[in-house]
Amino acid sequence: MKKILWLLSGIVSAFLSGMFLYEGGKLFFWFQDRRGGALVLAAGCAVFVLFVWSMIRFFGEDSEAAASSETDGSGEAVEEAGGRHLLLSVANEIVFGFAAGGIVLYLTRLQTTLLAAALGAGVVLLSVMIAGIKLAVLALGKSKE
Amino acid sequence: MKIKQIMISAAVFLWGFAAAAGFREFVWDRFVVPQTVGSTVEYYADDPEVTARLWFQEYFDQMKGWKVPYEYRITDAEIDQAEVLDDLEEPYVQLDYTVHTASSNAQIVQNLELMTTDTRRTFTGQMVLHFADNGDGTYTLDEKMRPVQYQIMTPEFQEERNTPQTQHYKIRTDDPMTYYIENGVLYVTYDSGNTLIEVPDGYEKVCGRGDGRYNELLNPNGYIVTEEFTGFVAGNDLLYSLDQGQSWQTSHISDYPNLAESFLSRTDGGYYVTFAVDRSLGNDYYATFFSADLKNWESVNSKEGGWSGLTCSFWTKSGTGYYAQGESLYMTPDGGESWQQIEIPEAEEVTSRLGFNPYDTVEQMYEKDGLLYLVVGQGDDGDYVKDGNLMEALYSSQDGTVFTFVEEIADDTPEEAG
Repeated sequence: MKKILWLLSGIVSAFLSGMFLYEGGKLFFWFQDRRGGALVLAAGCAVFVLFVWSMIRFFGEDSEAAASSETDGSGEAVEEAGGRHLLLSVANEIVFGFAAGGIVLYLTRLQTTLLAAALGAGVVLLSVMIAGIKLAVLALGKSKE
Repeated sequence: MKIKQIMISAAVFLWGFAAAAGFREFVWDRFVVPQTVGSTVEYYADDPEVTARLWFQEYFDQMKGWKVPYEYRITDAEIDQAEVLDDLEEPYVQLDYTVHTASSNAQIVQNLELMTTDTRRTFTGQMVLHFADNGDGTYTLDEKMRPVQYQIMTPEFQEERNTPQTQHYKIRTDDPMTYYIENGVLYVTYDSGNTLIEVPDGYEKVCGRGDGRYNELLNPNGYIVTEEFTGFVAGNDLLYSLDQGQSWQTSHISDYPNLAESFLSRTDGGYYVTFAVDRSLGNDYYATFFSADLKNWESVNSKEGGWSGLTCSFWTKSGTGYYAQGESLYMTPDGGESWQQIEIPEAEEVTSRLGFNPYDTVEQMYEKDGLLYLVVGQGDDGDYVKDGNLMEALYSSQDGTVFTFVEEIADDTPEEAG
């Protein structure tokens, strides 16, 4: 099921980033609108990160599932699997943050360059911050144990 | 990731990219450019300004949204000023407006007839509209024009145009050796106007047009005022002085009448005069005459088909001839035996800024410091101004065949005098 979701995410992000990259490229090269084109291209690149991650997860899902099932139940192995799961979940948040930042950048491209870039970067930073807090809370919980 | 997986990923992305691009192009292709003349607006009160405002809103609303291609897409349009014009029998409405576009590109400026401002993606525009009442509460836009086109239609302009008037000009201050006309007398000066030397009967002979008017603005390639030679084309004669205006002679060029513009050039080998010798179906046909001694004149070969509608004719010191018909420029290196067309490149920086090339008429040529200069103006319908000045494009050439854009210059027509 997860595998299908990652494939869907890949297809959607391929379409979305393709749309932004095509539109940005047309603005940049065809219409010679350098600023507008660069912003939309940047939005396309941000969404493209999600596409790459989706494909990595899509192809890696089988091996991850196999690795989980193969754990021998020892404390060390369970801990290792948990750590890997945690890292993947943090990476997911950052990557989706990138995609969201790209979409925000596209939607706000008609504002001033500074505002659009700040809003796009803000969304990415927010996702990184949330991932960081999540990691910190887990690390704190572990140290208490 | 394995190679196979990378290939599959690339294929998925390429599919996504192609699908997105196709989708975008399909949507943009379906966009229909909103109709202007012929479009109908519903309004139930006979107020042309309100009708115009309503039409304006409906018209520009059709250019908003993601389905509109970037050569038409706007984000907002607002009327800065609306004025009902009542110079004609029917009221017209002039709208001055500001448009905010979704992209800053030359095509939208051209498509929507906009003017650039200092702010990105913000443009201004002007239009004059006339609506026809359909009698059922709807109005159809039957005329849309630029303000200058409306002004031409007004009775005041028509009256001014139909009244024979002689326009007077101030003396040129940027050229120490030039001509000057005051109170119906033609003068020449060699010291920026400090000393004015009268040209005997010059005003009547050089400026008279035969319809009661006088042309006091001589075309820049139509006369020569230098210390060695001063000359004016006076009908089908050349009125000239070799001693800085102290004495004047007349040389009869041809028996053909001079029917329109005339051009005069001095080369190392002699003198070239070009003037319209015939007129048919609204076209002037030009001939060129050459004299080495200012006594005997011989006809110079024209290109096949002859010359009509000349806007400039100039012969360089070395004897290369140039003839311009609007934006087409021809050159003869051998006294009219052979002709070749010269390409005048567009002024890229101007075209990209304005979205169109306003310069389409070769107006003047001259030599200076070993270079050949070409001034390309906007023709009779030119309205591109900068800092209040009508602009022209200056080109230069080292070899006389390849011209490059130098800069925009203000039209140096002398100021009108009262």
